[in-house]
Amino acid sequence: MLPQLSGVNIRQTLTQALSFCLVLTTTFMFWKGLSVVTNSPSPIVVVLSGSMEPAFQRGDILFLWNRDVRVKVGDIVVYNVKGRDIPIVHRVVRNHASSKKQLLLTKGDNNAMDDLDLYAHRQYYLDREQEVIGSVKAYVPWVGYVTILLSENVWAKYALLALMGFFQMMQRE
Amino acid sequence: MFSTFQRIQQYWGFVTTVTVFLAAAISISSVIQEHYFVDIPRVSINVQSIDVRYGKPHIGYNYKRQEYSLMKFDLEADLTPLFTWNTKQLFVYLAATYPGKPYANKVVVWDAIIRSKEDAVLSLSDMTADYSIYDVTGKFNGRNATLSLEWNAQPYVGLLTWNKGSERERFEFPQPATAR
Repeated sequence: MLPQLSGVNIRQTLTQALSFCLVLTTTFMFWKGLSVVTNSPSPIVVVLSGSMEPAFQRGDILFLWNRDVRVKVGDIVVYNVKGRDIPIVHRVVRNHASSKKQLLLTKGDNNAMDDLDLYAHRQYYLDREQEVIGSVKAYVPWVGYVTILLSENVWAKYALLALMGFFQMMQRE
Repeated sequence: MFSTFQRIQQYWGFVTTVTVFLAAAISISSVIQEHYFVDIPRVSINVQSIDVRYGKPHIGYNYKRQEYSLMKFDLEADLTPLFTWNTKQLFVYLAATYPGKPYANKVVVWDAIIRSKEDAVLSLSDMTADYSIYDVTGKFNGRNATLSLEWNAQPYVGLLTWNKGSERERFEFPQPATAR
């Protein structure tokens, strides 16, 4: 009787582990799929600073689109300057476009000055192709606060993982 | 214990589903309203004065010595119809468009955040532009430019929209006052 019971338990545990893996891979594939569709390495971003207030506040979520070859003045773009890790969400206030290249200057709506201070040393313009990873098309408030909580507190990350594992174990059927 | 967790999960799922559909409905309805039921406002733009100087632009972090513009303008526009029930704010900007080789250019000279219908009637006279125009080449060479008013409606939730007034104001960059 005992071996039989333990056999069932192992099977059940394995099934649960498998469905947990399925949840993780589905989420990952959804994210990567969205990346392919929008042509952006990071199609959903969370606002981290108040430089676009009052429209975008810390913890709000932005949906990006990166299939337009040229961005326009007035667009809100997310860009990554080489050597700086954090992507920045600011508005395009200057556009100089040739057939080969597009140079941009950005500025936060809530900032008094333009972004030259945030660019690399002696860099006067952003390069559309090299540095912009998408322009904002849609907005959802608050939801991103969860990820801020997770990235800024290590305990929250482990707590969430534990919680997910726990719920997965609770689902027997 | 088991059924309690299941119930919490079910309630949570229901709440999120309803919220997502509600948000989508609010966004779509306001986009439809903006697109089909709101006439694009009439705008009147007038360039009072345009000067070009040589030196470091006064406004902004660009410290290169180059030609830059100083502008004063009048602006009349009633943007109240653009506020729908999902409009959190309007970002309004006056942009100068001018040609060039190899770069065609568009530069924001003035902007404003409008947060309520009450503040949406713009009536500015002899207003100094917020930002000066300077070119990639550092020179204007008497090029012609046009000014137009554009705006971005930012929602409480959902899609952002952009639009512009059809009116254009033409002006020409004069030769710099202190040419060197």
